Amino acid sequence: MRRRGNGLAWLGLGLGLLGVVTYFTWIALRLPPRVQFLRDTALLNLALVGVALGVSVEAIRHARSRAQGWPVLAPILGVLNLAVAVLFILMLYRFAALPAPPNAPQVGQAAPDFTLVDDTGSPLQLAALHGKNVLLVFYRGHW
Amino acid sequence: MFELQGLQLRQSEFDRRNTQIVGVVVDTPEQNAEVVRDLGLGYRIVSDPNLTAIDAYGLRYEQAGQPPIAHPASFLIDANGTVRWRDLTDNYRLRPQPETILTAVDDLRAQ
Repeated sequence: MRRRGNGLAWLGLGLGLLGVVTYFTWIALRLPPRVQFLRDTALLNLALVGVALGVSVEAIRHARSRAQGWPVLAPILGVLNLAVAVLFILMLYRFAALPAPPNAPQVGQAAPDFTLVDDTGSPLQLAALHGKNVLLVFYRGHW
Repeated sequence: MFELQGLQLRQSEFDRRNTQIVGVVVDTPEQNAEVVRDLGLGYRIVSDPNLTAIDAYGLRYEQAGQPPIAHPASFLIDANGTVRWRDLTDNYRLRPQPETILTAVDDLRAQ
């Protein structure tokens, strides 16, 4: 029975790692925009990481009830699993954080004009588009 | 890139609302031509390697050891050249959804 507890502990860590690794497969797969939420919110990954932590807790309880004194392996794997989960959440919400750009034009202000070369090599002036609404999308590009 | 693709899927709805999409990025026109071709974009991307527009909009983003790029941001500008809606994301993974932007366009047109 001791071994089954350890098996659960490994399963917990394995699921936790799977939950994190599959997040990067969403990115590598270049998901179509309709399922972009899988990548943006990482809901499935966070759910899997949550289940994994539950399995780890269960493994520790199981090992604890079978062992004389405190079991070692299950708590160690559980802590590792927790560390993986914490890193993943930090990566999603903390490391991806951007400082606010304080000098960006406010709503109600005039949009600064510019002339830049487009993808066909022709110049495009923002002001020349007046008469239409313009959605200007700044993005990070190839990096 | 995902964002550009998402906007492309709804482009006809932007067209119907008399709204032109323009992408701005530090990449070269050649790289942008590739993106337009690969994603089948029906709108233009302008190249801003010297950060002219990016600086005019206060969006320069620098990280040690990397060339400067734009802080991802979207601005809805009306026919008179006034900013009417904007989104300055605080997390580079998260960009405004096309629905959100279309709602902003509708609000602008309702006024």
